[in-house]
Amino acid sequence: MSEDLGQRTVSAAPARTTGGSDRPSLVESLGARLRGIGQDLPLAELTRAADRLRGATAACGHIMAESGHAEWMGQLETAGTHLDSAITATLAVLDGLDGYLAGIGLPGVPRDGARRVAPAHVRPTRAGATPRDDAALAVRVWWVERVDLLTDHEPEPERPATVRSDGERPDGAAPEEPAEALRRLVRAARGGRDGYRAELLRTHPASGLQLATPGARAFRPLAADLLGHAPGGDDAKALAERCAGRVRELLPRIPAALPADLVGELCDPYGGRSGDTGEPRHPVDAAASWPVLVAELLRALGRDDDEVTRLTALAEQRTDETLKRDGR
Amino acid sequence: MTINVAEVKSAIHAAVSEVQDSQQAVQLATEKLDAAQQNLALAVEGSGAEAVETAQAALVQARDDLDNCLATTVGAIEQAQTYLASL
Repeated sequence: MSEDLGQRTVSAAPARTTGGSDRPSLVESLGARLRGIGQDLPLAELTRAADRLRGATAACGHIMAESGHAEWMGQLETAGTHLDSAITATLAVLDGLDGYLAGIGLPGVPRDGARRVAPAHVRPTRAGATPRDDAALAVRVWWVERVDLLTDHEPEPERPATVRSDGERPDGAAPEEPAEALRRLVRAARGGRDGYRAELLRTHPASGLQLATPGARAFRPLAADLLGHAPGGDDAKALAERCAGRVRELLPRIPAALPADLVGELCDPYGGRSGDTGEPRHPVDAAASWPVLVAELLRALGRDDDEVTRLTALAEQRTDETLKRDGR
Repeated sequence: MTINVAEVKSAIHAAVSEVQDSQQAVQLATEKLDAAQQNLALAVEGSGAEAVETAQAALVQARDDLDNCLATTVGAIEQAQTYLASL
C-alpha cells in the first residue's frame, strides 16, 4: 500500500538576512517561493488516486474478467500506468527544484523521508491472471517523439521495453538510476545512430531527464585530463568543436548551438551559453546530448566505458575529493 | 461459492465509486499542477537553468499523464455502467 506522500515536515529556511535587516534577501525569498511550490505539489492526491484505482480492482476485477469484460481490467491498468508516470514526473519536479536550489546555495524542498514512488499500477486479482506487459505504455510519447525527431527517424508502432531497476517499488519497476542510464547510453554513443536511438528509446524519461547531472560529473574530469587543467571559459570552444560533430552525427536534428551551449555552461557557468536565441531548450535535447559528449571525450582519451562507472561512483562517494581534483 | 446478481451489482457499484474517487483526486492534482506551472514560471522567469527546465518539463509531462489517466477512467466507468444496466 502506498504511503501518504503529502505529509511533509516543513523546516524553516535559514534566517540569513541582508545588511543586518530582518528582511530575507532576494535569493532567500526566491528559495522560499520555490520550496513552497515543491511542498504544494499534489503527491497526496496522486497517492489517493492510486489507492482508489487499486481498490476498484480489488472490488470487482475478477467479476468483470469472468463476465467477458476482461478489457475493463486493461483500462484500469492503463489508467494506473498513466498515474504512475504522473507520480514519477512529479518526483522529477521535486528533484529539479532541489537541483536548482542547491545550485544557488539554498536548502531544498523539505522532506520527511517518504519521497517514494507510490505504485499506482494495478494488477489483475483473478487467480492465474497474467499481468499485462506495460512496457509499451510506460514509454512516454513525449520522450519518444523527441528522440525520433532528434535522430531523424520515422515513428514506429513497436517500441523497445523501458530499462528499469529494482529501486524502491515493490513491483520492481522503478526507473533506471541516472548514472546507470548514462553508462548504458555512453556505450551506445560509441556506435551508430540506430543503436543510440534504440537505447534512448529504452530510457525512462524520469531517468533521462536527470542525465545532465552525471553527464557533467563525468565530462568535467575527462575534459580536465584532455586539457591538462580544469576546463574554463577559454577552453569551451575547442572542447565543443571536438564533440559537436559526433553529436550531430548521432542526433542530426539537434539545435545547432546546443553542444556548444552545454560545453560552454560547464566550462563557464556564468556566461557559457553562447548561442542563446531566447528559444526555450527542449529538455530531451540536452539529455540525449550528454552521453555523446562524454563518449567523445572517452574516445579522444583512448579510454573505455568503465571510466564512466569510476567517475560517477567517485563523484557520488567522494564528493570532496572529486571537487578538489576538478579544480572546483 | 455462489454469487447472485445483487452481489455482482454491489461489487461493480463499489468499483465505480472507487474509480470516481480516483477521478476526483486526479482532478485536484491537475489543478495543483496547473498552479505549480504558473507559479514556477513566474518565479524563475528568465532563469534558463537546466534544473528549472527539467522541473518545468516534468510538470508538463505529469499534467499530460493525468489527462490520459482521466480519459481512461471515464471509459472504464462507462463500460462498467453499461454492464450494470444489462444485469
